[in-house]
This record gives sequence, C-alpha cells and structure tokens, in this order.
Amino acid sequence: MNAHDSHSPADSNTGPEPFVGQSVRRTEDLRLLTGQGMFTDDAVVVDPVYCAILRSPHAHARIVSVDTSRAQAMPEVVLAISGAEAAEHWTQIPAGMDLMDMKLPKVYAIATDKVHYEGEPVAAVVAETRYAAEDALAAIDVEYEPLPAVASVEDALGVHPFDAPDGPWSPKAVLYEEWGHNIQCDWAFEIGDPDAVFASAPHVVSCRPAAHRYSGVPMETRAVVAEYDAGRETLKMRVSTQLPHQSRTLIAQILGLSEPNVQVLADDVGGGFGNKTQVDAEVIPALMAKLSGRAVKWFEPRGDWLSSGPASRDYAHHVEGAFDNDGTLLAIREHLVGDEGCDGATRSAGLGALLVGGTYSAGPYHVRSYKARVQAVVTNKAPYGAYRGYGKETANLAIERLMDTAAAKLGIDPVAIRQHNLVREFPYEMAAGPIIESGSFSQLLDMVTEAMDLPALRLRQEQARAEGRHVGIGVISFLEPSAGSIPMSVFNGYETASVRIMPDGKAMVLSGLQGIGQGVETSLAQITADRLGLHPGDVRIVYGDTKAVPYGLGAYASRGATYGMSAVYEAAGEVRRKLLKAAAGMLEVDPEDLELGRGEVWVAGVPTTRLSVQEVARAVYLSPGPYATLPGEESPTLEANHVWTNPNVSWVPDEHGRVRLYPTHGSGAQGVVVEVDVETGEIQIEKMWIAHDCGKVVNPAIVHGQIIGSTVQGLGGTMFEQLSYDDQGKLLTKTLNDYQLPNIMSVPPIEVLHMETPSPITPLGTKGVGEGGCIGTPAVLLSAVEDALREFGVTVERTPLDPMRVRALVRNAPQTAPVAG
Amino acid sequence: MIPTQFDYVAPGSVDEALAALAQHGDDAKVLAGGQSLLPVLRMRLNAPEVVIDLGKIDALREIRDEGDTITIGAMATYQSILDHTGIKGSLRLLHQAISEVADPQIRHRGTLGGALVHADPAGDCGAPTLALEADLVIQGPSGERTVAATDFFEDLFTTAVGDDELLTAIRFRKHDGWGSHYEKFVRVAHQWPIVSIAAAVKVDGGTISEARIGLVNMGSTALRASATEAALVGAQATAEGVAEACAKAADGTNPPSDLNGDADYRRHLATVLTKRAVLKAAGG
Repeated sequence: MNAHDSHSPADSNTGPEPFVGQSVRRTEDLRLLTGQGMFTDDAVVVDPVYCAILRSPHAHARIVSVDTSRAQAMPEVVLAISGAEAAEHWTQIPAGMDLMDMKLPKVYAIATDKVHYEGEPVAAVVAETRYAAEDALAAIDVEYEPLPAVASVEDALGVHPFDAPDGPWSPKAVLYEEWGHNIQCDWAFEIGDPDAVFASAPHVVSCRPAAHRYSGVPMETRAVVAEYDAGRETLKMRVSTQLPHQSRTLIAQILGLSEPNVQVLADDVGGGFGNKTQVDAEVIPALMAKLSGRAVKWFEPRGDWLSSGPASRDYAHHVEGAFDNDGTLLAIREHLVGDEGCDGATRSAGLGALLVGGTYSAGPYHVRSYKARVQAVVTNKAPYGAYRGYGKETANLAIERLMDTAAAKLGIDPVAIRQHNLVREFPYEMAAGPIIESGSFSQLLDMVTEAMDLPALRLRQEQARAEGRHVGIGVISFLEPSAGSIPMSVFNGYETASVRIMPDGKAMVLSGLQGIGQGVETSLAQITADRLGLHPGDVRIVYGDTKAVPYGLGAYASRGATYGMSAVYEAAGEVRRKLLKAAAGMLEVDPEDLELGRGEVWVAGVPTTRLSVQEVARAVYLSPGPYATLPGEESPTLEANHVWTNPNVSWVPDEHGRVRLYPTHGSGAQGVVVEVDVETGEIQIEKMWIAHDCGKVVNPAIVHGQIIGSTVQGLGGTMFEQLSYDDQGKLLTKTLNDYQLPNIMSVPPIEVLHMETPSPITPLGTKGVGEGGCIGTPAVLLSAVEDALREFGVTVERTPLDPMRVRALVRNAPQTAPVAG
Repeated sequence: MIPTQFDYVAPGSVDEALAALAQHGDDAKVLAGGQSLLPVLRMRLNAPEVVIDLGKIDALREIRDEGDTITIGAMATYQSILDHTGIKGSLRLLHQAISEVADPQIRHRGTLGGALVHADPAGDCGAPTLALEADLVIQGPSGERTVAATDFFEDLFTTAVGDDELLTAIRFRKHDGWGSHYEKFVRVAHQWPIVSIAAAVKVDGGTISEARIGLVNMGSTALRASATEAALVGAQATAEGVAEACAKAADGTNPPSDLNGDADYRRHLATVLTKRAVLKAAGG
C-alpha cells in the first residue's frame, strides 16, 4: 500500500479544499453539550427493574454460604441470586486473551466458592426500584472464611523477583490453587548477546522506576440496559463499552445464546480510556434479564467502579543500560514486575500492558542488544485492565530515566545524549521486533527545546538557584505505538467499514469503530466526504450497533486512525469508483475526465456538464436502476465493504520469540518547567510543551484535544490519582474525595506543537494519537523534579509525586542544600 | 443518591425544629446545606429515621451587622457570607477561608453553621472561627446560650451542641486593624486541606502585639496554636523574628495520618505554613 496513490480531492488540486486536515467542528458536540446524548442509562425501557450487586468486603476469603432468602422475600424484590445459583445458568468468564502461556483464572462473574478481591460480586438482585435493590443487598447473608490477603508482590511470592527472579517462591497464600503459585505470565526474550555487551561496556547505568496503581475515571461508569425476549430467545443489551462486537461474542458465549440472537448497542459512551474493554460485571444484569423476564437497568455506583473497575500501572521496573564513552546506548537489560491484582487476562486485559512495557523500552532510541523479562504477578486486588498508555508509558519512563541517569553519569547534556541516540532512518526494525515505519524524532526534540528556549530557561534556573529556589527542567522523547493487534485475543488486527451513498445522494458509513468521545463521527465523515465529493454534514457515521454494523473491533489502542480510517477510506474509494463510472455513463464521457466535489460531478474543464451526486445515486438505485447505470458491475449499487489489515503485524514468534503487535508509531517530545517548594514538597508546574507527530492529521482540533486530554491524565496519574490498599488488601480510596483527580486549577499552560510525518502503511498517512500525553508526561515530570532537586543528589524514579513523598526525598537527601527546609 | 428510607420534616421555625428534635432524638439528623450529610446518606454510612431540614427557616439565614459585631445565621450559605461587604471588610480571615471552601457549587449550598456543627477537623471554617474568637449561639428546650469558640469543638464530629439543641448563629467581633491570612495546603484545588493555618495578628510599629492562630486538620478538632500565639507577642514581624514562635505551631497536637500526609509531615507542614501565614498576615 502506498501513502499517496489516492485520487481524492486532497491530491487533485482541482476540486474544492479537502476536509481532511481541517478543524471541522465536531458533529457530536451539539447533542452532547445540550443534554441530548444517549448514554446507556438514558435509555427508556418498558417496566424496568433495577439491578444491584453485592460485593465482597474481604480481599481473600472462601465463601461458606450465601443465603438470599430474606432478600427474595422483600416485597419489591423480583429476584435475588447467589454465585452458586447463577453458575447453573452461565459459563465462566472467557478470557479476552490467551497467549504467551499465560495462566487463566476459572471464575464466574459472580463468585462461587472464593473471592479474590474486595469488591468481587457475590450476589445480585433486581427490584422494582433502585432503592429496594440497594436495601435488598443488606438482607443477603453471606458467611465468609477469611484467607490470608496477598496485598503485594512480596506477599504473592515471598521474595521480590528483583532479588530472586526464579524463586523459590513462598507465597503468603495462592489465589488460584490449581496454579500452585501467583504468577500469571512469565515472559522473557533476548537478542544481540546483551550480557556480553554489558560485560565489555565502558559504562553501565541502572535505575528502578516504579509506578503506583491508578486508572481511568470515566464520567459514565459501567452501565447496562438488558431486555430478553423469551419468545425469540433474543437479548438486546445497551452497554457502555469500547467493544460492542466482542462484547456480544463473549456475552452470547457466557449465557449460552446464539450470537446472532444477541444485539449489543452502544450509542454514546461517557469515556473509555481502555477501561471498557472487557465483559465482567456487565453480564450480571443480562443474566438477570434472562431469568426474570423483565427489562433490567444497571448503573454502577462510583464506589464500585473504584473498588472493582480495571486498575493499571502498579509495577516495579529494573532497567540497565550499557553505554559507550560518547553516550551511545549499546544494550538494555530490563526486568518488569507487575502487580496485576487478581487477574489481567480474563476479567480484564491489563496483562498485555506489561508485555508492551517489556517490548518497547528502547523507545525511540537505537539499540541492537536487548534482554527483557516480564513477570505478571497476581494479588488480592481488583483486576488489572487497560488504561490509556497500556505499557507504553512504562517503557518510556524506563528509557527516559535511564537517559537522564546516563547523562549525569557521563557528564553529557541530557538533550544531547538523546539526540545522539535517536533513531534517524526509517523504516527501523527495533531490536525487540516492532518496525517503526516512519518518524522525525530528532526534529521533534528540536521543536520542543526551541519552543522552550532552553538556554534562557537554564539561565533562569541558575538565577532561581541563587535565590534559593528550586526550578527544574525536564525534556524527554516518546514513542507512541498505536493500533495494537494482539493475536489470540479480542483485540485483533483488522477493521471493517461499509460505505453507502443513499438514493438521496447522502452517505452513510457503518464502522466497526466505537465512538467513546474521540470524535469519530466527525473525522470519519471528513474522510468520506473527501472521497465522495460531499460535505461532512451529509455523511452519517453509524457505529455501536451489532445488528447494523459488520463485525468490527471497536475503540482501543489508538487504532481508529490506523484501522478505522483506512477501512473507511478504502471502502469509500470503491464507492467513488462506482459513482464516477455511473456518472460517466450518464454524461457519456470517460470516468477519468470527471471531477467530484460539493455534491456534484462534472467534466473537467466543462463545468456546465454536471450532475449532482443525488441525481447519479437516484439513477443507480431507482430510475432507471443499476442495469442501466452500472452495467457489468459485480455489485452494482453505490455500496462497498472493506476490511482493512496491514502488513506490519506479525504474530508468529521469530527465533528470538519476538512478535510485532503495533503497526504504526506516533512519536513526540515533551518539556516542562517545575518549581519545587522544598519546605513542603509541593510541585508547581509552570508550563508544559509537547511536540507531537501522528502522521497525517485529519482534524487538528481533535488531535489537539487528544493531546491535551492525555497529558492531563498523565499528569493526574503521576501527581494526584491513587488506588491505595492497606496490607490486608482493603481499598483506602473508595470515593473521589480520596481518589484525587486533577481539575482545571491543576493544569498548567500546555503548548502543543505539531509535525506530520506520514505513515507509509496507511492510505492517508495517519497514525494513532489517543495516548501521547499519557506516555511521556510521567517521565518528563520525574525528570524535571529530579533536576530541580539536583543539588540534593536525589534520584526521582517512583510515582506518585505527592508532596509528602517529595518532601521526604529532600529530608532524606544524601546532600544538604543551602536552603533545605 | 440511593439512601436508606427516611422521613423528612421541614419545620418553619426554630421552635418547630426544636420540637421535632425533641420528638425524634437520636433517630434524627439535622440537614443544613447538606454538603456533608448527603454524601453520608448516599454512601449509607448513616441511616437516620428522620431528616429535619432547616432550609425553610429564613430567619437562620440572616447576616446582621451590629456595630462592633457581625452575627451570621447558622443557615447562611458560604456564598452569602462572601457577598456580605461588612464581612469582607472586617472579618477578612473568615472571608478568605470561606472563599477557599471546595468549589462554587458547594459554596452556594453549604452553610457556615452546618460546617461548624459537623465539626470535621479538616473543614476550612473551624480554624478561622477559633482564631477570630467567635461566640456560638445555641438554642435548646431551655432557651438560648452562648459558647465561646474555644469551648465549642469537643472531639471528632462532636461539638457543644446537644442532641436536643440547634446552633442558630455565630457572632464575630469585628477585627478591623488586624492583619490576617488563611494559608491552605492542598494537592487539588477543591479538596479538603491537608493542613491549613488561619492567622490573625496585630502589628504595632513592626512588632506583633497580639496573635491568634487556628489549625486545620492537626487533631481531632480544629485547634489553636497557643504556644505560637504566646511566643509571637513581642516578636518582630520578620522571617527571623517569627521563626522561633512558628516552630512551636505543632506543639501539643496529635495530627492524623492518611494518604495525603502522615502525622510527622503534618507537624512539619504546620510549622512551615504558620510562618508563611503569620508573615503574610503581618504584611497585610
């Protein structure tokens, strides 16, 4: 496939200005901002009942008995059910992924014999009102036999794997007895004889970055409206999900329904961030609908989201770099240990993030020797899920901390050591396997440092230090692999589009993508409009309805700009061909002589010889019809379907065990200036810069919003947000009072700079853009804080950067600066 | 919000409210602005049988300028206090602290009286009430009594207001001629303070003649930093002059430990923030 073989108006210079590349106002915003969205719980159904879920108060316990009889006897309760009772009606939760010899828990959506985290469902009710449903939970009697809680990797293994990577383990308790231990996945590979390179390298530096547990907090928690038609044996479900099609597959499987009999609908989804990429508790209201014969509504309380939703990060990383005297990176060795909570593959999909973290730690830098070990450890906490970044931020923090550490040790400027090592020739096959198809890494770093006016900032930093103030500057690069395609999983590597011009001359596009706030209704309409010579307002994008849209894979891994847009582009191209062919026949000219735009088709140079798209469409479909207008066409209407795949995904492990999961690679550079109040530990972020390259930009305003949004989420996670557990596995942050989210007052000025290096593997040159700020922000903040505290000689490699921890760094510093508080 | 079931009464006068309290006793909770009670009900942490809503008693919303004093009705919202020009001029410490309570939505609903009776030691209002030496007016079956702020806060979520009583007003002496500053330390702007300092000082010719320091979130109640207050008298209003006194700010406190800060960190913050607050108060 070639980036620039298109005949769209974008390339012809003769038609009107293309819509691709313009900040077309988002078509979805008017309804969303005026309260006319259709989120799951907005759906009105006939005579609904309301579902509530009883959740375990213990992190680890055997269920001795569950007695629902008192709840069942309450006047407004329709049905109360235990896990054991539910198990007669459904299967265990099927795994969302099954590869790399990972171990899979055999669990039901409502626990049967054992609970593995505080917040695991143990019973459920439906009642005539939400009040009655909540009241009924208090009338369910559960007897537990508490077991020792595995609250940390040390509890899970008895020893930290950095000290003894192969054990022997002495776990405090084993979560899944049949495993015999608490390791869900242990993956290793190496290439380029890294141990020999380390043995002979002039310099070896190491660091141990670690991140705490946090996750996304979508405004809409999980929600379901389920209606079961016993006569037809059909289930209609509205779900707040990023994956309507795979949700249907998994729900049908769990409930033993024929998949064509299940419809999953997701109109507006109030935030995804990777967090809504599994089927877990969602299946409970579906079962309740099937068993009760009533329409069931379930809208998850915020506290349940925090206690049982998919969590992320929570890892320790030991990374070593071998460097030459001139700062050349020669080899990387890394060991990544993730605390997954109870599961990262069945109940949710976080395990892959650790594999990504262990694959991409070279970041945008050149290195040929690489050795990785990834261990995914289970503990008695909530499941480990996908969250914006998905391990790319883990990889980035490792390599960027390593670069800063090496710069300090070798006495090289931190920007210079990065420039020295950045990849400059493309396509570039990383040592760990992925192919970086294109990029302008060095230019991005230049863009950021020039926008910052780095020399002037360094001068100001010196002046501040003379006044006893601690200003820090961070500059980093980042790689943003996008469109992840995981074999043996529901996160596969293709996307579908069906594009149609209707008889009225307007277009509809059925896309397997899912709208979760990222503006696909606008950007896909721009692409279609350019291909079909229409206005974006005349293109209706349809998604989130498994009854209407061909099987597609939804929204995750920043895949829309790679898979979704390319599928639409190709399908629309085929419709364009047929449209021009039909018009050429009607005008009795050659299709090559036609131009298309603003809803019309005309003969080049003869603007009076023209037809409207509507006239052509009506002719094709109705009068006279396809026999006359598209004679000989195999599929003679203005409709085309396309399934887009790409050549840069490789699932067959090579002799080193490497696979290629991400076909496109955005990239960027980030800078920040902070000031640390060393008396209190407070960090003031003065300003952030981010230079970003996602290839061809379809809608600059949407891309800008993605970068700002992901940067703020990265900042929130690094500084404020925290899912914290005590040593008994009890969650300490059960409300948004404790789980502190950033707000408008927390956000510094952010200057966004754009560069466009097209991807050669997508037809428009697009790459994914959803995660950039989440990937680089942790690293740039840690870098800047370490720089601010340089005179104290402290290492900053762990999050969160909350004031108590920063103050402790200063207080416990090896060196005392003149103005230490 | 899905609380447990409760009965709701909305008396039209203080007497009616007291009668309702007498009738329901321990089974009742009093609803003022609802910014603490409603979350508690929503999370089912408390299940009162009766909620007595004071929202219909307009007399409790009055703010009266009485010359030397300003009396704020217990149901006056934060926003109505912020909008009162007399408070802005003569009770700047209270005004500043209230301007930093949570966010605008909460300030339009929440009340000073409700916050003081709730007596969360992390609340913004207890410390300025202590530092400004307010008097709290309490009504009960046997009539009205007045309690000094120093005697009002008894323990965590516990005040001098009895089960059958209501706080009806808070009376502040005007503090014209005092300098003040509320130094609030938070991670995210609308959140509860990790530690805050409410400082009011009187400065004559560069020397501090009087000082009142209130501490937020440094114990089971809002507190006064008595040792610092005493040591500040006679000190020069400079960084060096106040340093020794402010180092005593955490003396005798027993601050909580939580995710935002352990007790040692809070003690340290109290001394740093007190120094900053006193200097800003003295400079303003």
